Amino acid sequence: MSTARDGLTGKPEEPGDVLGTVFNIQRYSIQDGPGIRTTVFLKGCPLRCAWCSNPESQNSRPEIAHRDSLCTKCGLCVTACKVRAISLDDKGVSINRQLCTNCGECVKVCIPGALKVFGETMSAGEVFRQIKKDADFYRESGGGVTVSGGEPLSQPDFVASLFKLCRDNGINTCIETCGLASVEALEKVLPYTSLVLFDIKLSEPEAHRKWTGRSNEEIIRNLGLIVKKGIPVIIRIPLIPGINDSDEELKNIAHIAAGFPPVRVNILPYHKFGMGKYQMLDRKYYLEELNTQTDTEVQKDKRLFESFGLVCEVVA
Amino acid sequence: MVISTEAAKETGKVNVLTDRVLKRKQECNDAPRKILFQRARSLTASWKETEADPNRLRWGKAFARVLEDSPIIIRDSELIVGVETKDIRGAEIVPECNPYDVLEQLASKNARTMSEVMSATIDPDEAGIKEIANYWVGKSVNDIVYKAYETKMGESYKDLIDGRRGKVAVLPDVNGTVYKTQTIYNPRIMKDGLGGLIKKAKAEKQKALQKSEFVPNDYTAIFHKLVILDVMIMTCEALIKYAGKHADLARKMAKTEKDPVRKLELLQIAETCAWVPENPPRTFREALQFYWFIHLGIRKEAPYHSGPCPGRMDDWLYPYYKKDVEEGKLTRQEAAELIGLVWVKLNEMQMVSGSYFEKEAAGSLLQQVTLGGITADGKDATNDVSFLILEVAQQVKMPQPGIYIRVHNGMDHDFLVKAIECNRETRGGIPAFLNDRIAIRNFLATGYTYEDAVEWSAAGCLSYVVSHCNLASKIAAYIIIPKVLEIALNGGTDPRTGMKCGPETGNVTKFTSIEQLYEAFWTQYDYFVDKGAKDYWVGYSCKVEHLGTPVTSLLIEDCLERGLDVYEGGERYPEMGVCFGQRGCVDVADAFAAIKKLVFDDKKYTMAHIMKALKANWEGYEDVHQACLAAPKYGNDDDYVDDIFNYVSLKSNEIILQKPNPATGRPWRVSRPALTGHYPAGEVTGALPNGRKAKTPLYDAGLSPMVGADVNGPTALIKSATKVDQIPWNMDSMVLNMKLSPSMLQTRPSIEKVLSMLKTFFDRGGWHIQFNITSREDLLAAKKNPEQWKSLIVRVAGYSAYFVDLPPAVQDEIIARTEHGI
Repeated sequence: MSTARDGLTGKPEEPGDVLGTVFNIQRYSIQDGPGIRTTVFLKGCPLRCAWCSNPESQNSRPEIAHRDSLCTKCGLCVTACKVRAISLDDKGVSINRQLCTNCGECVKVCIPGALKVFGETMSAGEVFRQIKKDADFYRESGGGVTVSGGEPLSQPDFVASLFKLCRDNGINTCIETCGLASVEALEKVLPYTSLVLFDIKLSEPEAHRKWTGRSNEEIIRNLGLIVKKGIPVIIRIPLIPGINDSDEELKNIAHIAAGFPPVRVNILPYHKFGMGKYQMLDRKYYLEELNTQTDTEVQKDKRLFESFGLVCEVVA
Repeated sequence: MVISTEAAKETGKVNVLTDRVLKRKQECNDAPRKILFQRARSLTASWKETEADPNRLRWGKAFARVLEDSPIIIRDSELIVGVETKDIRGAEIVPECNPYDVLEQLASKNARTMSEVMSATIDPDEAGIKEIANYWVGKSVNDIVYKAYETKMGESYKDLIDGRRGKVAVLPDVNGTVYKTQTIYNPRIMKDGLGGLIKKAKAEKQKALQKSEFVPNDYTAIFHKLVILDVMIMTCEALIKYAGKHADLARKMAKTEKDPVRKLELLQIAETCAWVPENPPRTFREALQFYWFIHLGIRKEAPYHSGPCPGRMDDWLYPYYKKDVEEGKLTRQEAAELIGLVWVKLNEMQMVSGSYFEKEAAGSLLQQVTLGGITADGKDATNDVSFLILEVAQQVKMPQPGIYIRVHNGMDHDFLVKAIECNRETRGGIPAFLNDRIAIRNFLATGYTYEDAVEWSAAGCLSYVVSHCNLASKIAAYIIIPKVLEIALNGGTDPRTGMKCGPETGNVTKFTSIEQLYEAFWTQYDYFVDKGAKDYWVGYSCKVEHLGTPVTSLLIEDCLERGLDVYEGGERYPEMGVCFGQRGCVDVADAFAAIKKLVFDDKKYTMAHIMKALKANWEGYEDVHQACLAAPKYGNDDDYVDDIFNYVSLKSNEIILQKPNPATGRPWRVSRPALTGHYPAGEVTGALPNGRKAKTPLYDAGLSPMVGADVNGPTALIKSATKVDQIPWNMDSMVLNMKLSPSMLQTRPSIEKVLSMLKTFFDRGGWHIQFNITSREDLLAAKKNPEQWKSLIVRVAGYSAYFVDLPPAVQDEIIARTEHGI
């Protein structure tokens, strides 16, 4: 845990001083919980889902990205880079990720904003001030703040402090989690959490390991733990063509969900809007060939969940 | 009246696009635009015969003659009848205001079009037009106005005429054909009918004649009153006769009509036109026909005005609708078709009004319909017809009329949902939303009674007015604030012309603080406003003196009792004020923010360096240009620049309000009109420190951010827009145009969120908001010019990205989906 103050003085720290790594704060989020919300995206995730649409969220350290459409090919970044990681051609810049130290010198000289850093250290107080800006809208719409990621439970002290500030100011709080976290992390965050959006991607531990890098046993255990505390939970299932959207697999997932009443279910049709971010980070996206489900397919999947007695909504 | 959700659903089931409406819509869309001079011919003929008459009487006689000569046409399958011109989309020239535009066009042999925007062709009978136009040379409103300017200002008035081409920062309304005002349909006249008005006018005449206590000069007043009352009687009779001719024609057509269904329809048309507008309407259909005759009357009286506005159509139609439905005489479906037919007719109306106005309003007639609001007993005025009208607009999908919703806290929620759906279906703009509370507050502050104040409706772009009390506000002068800044940056010289046109305010490169620049700017601003306020009311006054408004004076209550034309002070309340138009307030705030940040706070560049970059229109100064573009921009909920906007906005109003207004004796009213004037204003303005290039358009409307600069989403834009008191008392228009992607309106939950945003806007004191829905074309443009579309966000659950960041294949996928409303 890092704090803005010198940890050695032993003074009890203020919740506003706790630091976190944030890569985006998006206002007017309308699909991440009830009402109008501000979604805070945190860096760092224990999973590596093949379909991840926020690849910039995975590493916990800041990363440089290049937005080619805004690049004027002025070349200032090439000279600013101390380790000569940047080169320029007709398409724009490319970054040698082996050499790049993510120092951010290139971003400073990029005037049109084509280069940017994903990830910034911010205090809970600073983030709260951003959240508070839309307080009028939360009140009118029944909205609030959602912390997403990355994985919010990977920065439990930060999220707990942020949520405490929000709760004290009458702002509803929500986390969107992959579910993989320590019990300690859960214990820190949950007391200040109004709603949990909880991802279930696959039912089988091995398949889960294959596609996300980690088994799901701990995840299912955590789901039980949260539900037991009486915090409202919505299970979110991203529908990935050919990976988890067969009837059989969805039935398995529905079976798990139905075991934790009174959870509700959201299903999220596949999209590959995140592809652009892979290019910006010079990474490869492996599921390029997949296509979004049709409306009919999605409606069929919705009915499948409803046949398990679950309230199911399509979120797109 | 509160509508049940059931009723809202029923409304959705009506089919407005019946064969009849579709046919009329097709005819309208296919009709070529024609420039006509039938009205001009009748008017001129009358004018020649009435040289000995008092001015107002001449206008009365001229109107009667115009109506007498008007074509009587009942088009195939019409139910509501009456046309403005013989051609479906004909526009009448107005040589009595300005004969020169016409003559200029006739002189250029290759150009047969009167207008770039309308690409209309002139009627081939050229000799006739020429003779008529020539008659008005020296007599037109333009001539009278120019003469008055010359008298007031001497030779320097000539700059003003060039001023239209942008020589100075403040533009007077010198052109006689530039719109002055707009009449809003006053439904109260349906209570007595025109027959009743004739009786009233005759009684007033008797009263005036019998008045025994003469005081010196009173005889003149009484004589004038008699003239006005005679004009009113003459006007009513002309309108009744005009309607009667339609009844005759319908009967004649019925005799030879083979189709028994159409025959019956024609007989019904005959019955309707024989009854209204002489008598009070008895049915929904008669009410619509009554209104339509008056609408045409106002058009024929003054085709140079924008509008007229149908006003609070749901409110005035509802009693007739309710009665007919209860008596089983009318179904919702039939009512929808009738309204649909009027909608098409409103799109037939055309206007030629001089090249400058065209750029200002892009030819739009601004016929505004107002829905919702409250009743005099404070209840929600939304009713079944309100829903029906939105349904008509949603299905007919034609550009006219504009629709405005008076939003208040007690408003039927289903109606607001319907309004958002209508926006989604019409791709935005219809309807727009206004803050009921603010308009009522402003009317009360002006001295209106509560009963009158709650009757307000939208007009122009966008003014608000109570139809039976007053005309819409007029704009007498415009000030282009960015141009003033440009002149201040150049110490009083306009760099475009090299002319010294403002006071000496010093060399900005020597300035050491932003406050010094503010001071130089305000000195220039005050100078130009003063110039405008002192001189430019003249033109407005001349037009008021010279033109007569026989039909409009019938509609504005108290004109009859006082025996005054509305232009002479016949209206119930002193007018809200003549407007001083402002353009480019936000541009200037952004420009100040860039200078403050780059020169005085960060000291990244010197003022001299910025000035060089501006002079070069950024060429060779790409770094400065990018830095200026990257400086804080209004629209992002960033106090750094929003505070500056607040400051510029309030102070620029205050300076205008302190100036005398000899035309009315009341304060000026400030207006930041929407329209399309940011194009011509931009053409005369050089590069600005906000990063804008020379000659490119200014930001549109009163509260819009720089294109693409609002990167923090819609709530941040609303915050920026509502930090300033938007419509202080006595202010006219101020609109926030907001772009929404169709995905934000797709499902009921997402519509609810847009409504929450809308309500928050109004709670925070917002006045006027309207939405544009991102279209397929927008996305194609974004793919092509990403730098202008940096703020376009693609939102999906748990994910969001800027559209411009997506790889082309994914962009294409989204473009494809937008067809179906992603």
